[in-house]
Amino acid sequence: MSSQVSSTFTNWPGLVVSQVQAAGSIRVMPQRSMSFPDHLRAHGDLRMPKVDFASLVEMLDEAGLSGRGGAGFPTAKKLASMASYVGRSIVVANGSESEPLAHKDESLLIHQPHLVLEGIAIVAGALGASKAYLMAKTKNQMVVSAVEAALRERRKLRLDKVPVTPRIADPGYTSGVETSIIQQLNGKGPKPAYFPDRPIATGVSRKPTFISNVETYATIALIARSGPSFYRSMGVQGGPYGSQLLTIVSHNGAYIVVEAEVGTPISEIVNYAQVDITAASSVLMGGYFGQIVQPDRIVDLKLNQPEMKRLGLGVGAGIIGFSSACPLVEASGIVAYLASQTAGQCGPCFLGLPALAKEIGRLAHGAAMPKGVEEIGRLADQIVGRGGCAMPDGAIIITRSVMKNFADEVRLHESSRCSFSKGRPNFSGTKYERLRLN
Amino acid sequence: MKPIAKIAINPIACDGHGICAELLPELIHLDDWGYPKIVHEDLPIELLDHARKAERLCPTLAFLIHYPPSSQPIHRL
Ligand code: SF4
Ligand code: SF4
Repeated sequence: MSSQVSSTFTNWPGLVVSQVQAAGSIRVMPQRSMSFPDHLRAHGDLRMPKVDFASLVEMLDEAGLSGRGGAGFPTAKKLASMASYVGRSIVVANGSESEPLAHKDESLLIHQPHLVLEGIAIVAGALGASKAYLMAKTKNQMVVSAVEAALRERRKLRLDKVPVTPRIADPGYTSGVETSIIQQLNGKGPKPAYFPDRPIATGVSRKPTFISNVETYATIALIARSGPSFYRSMGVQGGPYGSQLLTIVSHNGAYIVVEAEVGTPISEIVNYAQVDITAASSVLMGGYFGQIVQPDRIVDLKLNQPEMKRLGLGVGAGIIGFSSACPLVEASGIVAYLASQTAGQCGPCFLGLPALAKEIGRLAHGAAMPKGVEEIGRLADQIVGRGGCAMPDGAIIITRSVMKNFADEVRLHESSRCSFSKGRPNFSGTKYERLRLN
Repeated sequence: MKPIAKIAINPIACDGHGICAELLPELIHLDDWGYPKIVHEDLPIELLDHARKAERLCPTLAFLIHYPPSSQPIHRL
């Protein structure tokens, strides 16, 4: 398929286990849920890998794994910061996935619940945790059934030394924020809270809390089974390594979840979502914390976070979306959605975001702007960095990206014209359907 | 002006009463909505008394002074 394909990826047991769609360095996530016997068949006979704290940190450092929740922080470093809390901590796997365009965490939990639970068991064992929680996405019965079935199997086989409690995250965008997850587990409702310390020393049940994304846990299980050198043999020489899950959303709202080897050309990956890049008017890279860019910016791009970062881009929690609508309308839809998701705690968020949404909405729809288009930048400068959680910053990043990347279009809109008259907005307020492949 | 501490505001607790901005106009400005925006986080010794007053008067305990570990003043009111 491509010169990029490394033979190791073909042998990698993977976040996606699928014979059908395996092609090149990309695998399409099936909706089939794997039982424990399936899990052993795919990943090897070992019932439960055991690793102590120091070896786990070393192993993850060697593998060069970074967190898959969006921030991309080195997992070994994050775990190492828990060193003084070994024996008295709580482990949380965050699968709440509140980004409306993201589907990779729910797909992973449906497809390989055992891999995620195994990763949780490995980390909880290494940290000597007393309890572990798995936060699952709200409103998805398939996730709940898959996780419950897997937990029943594991209880019968006594696989997990540390008990895992599944929970369904509250709905709403900010319910996916780590500090909100902790509040929910403490029975305090979904509003994000102010925990200035990292790692969080008094989190769930006032105990030191290690919280990470579900894909990160699944990858930890794979690394513990196959060894860090296997993980390093995939991806780009010298790093970044490994593989990653991505949600690709096409113009018409159909999405697909794939596992791709790091370094794979983005154009090859989006092929599987049957996206014609040339027909798109804009691309949303990285979800609501990402950028809206011109399609030609991604044509030569590879799935390589540090390289993308140098170009001012990224995939965040693994999201690439396409739209044929006006990018300013798309941005105003996202900002309006985020404004509607405020937890109503911080002034710059619950007062600032609606003000920003109003201005960018005026621009998008060609209404008169009494304070001029500069008002958008002025409001953005006032809001950025001033929320108790990072949610308002997402709105600012989106706003700034569209104002910069589509500056010509902004000028057209100032005179109430638009060069993208056709096309429904696709990045907000849409129900996404899983793409049916034949 | 030598900084002896850093000021911070817990945005979740802050109710925008603006007392801190009134006491420390050199470091804090109010935004369009009357919420404090820190423009300089380094607290010079000359403003320490005002900052401690803000810490005491902030009705929601949102205004914070972070002293470096070694310079913690002994008589904190
Ligand atoms: S910034 Fe907004 S969403 Fe985040 S904690 Fe403050 S009010 Fe809540
Ligand atoms: S005094 Fe306290 S509540 Fe008032 S603006 Fe300052 S930090 Fe906010």
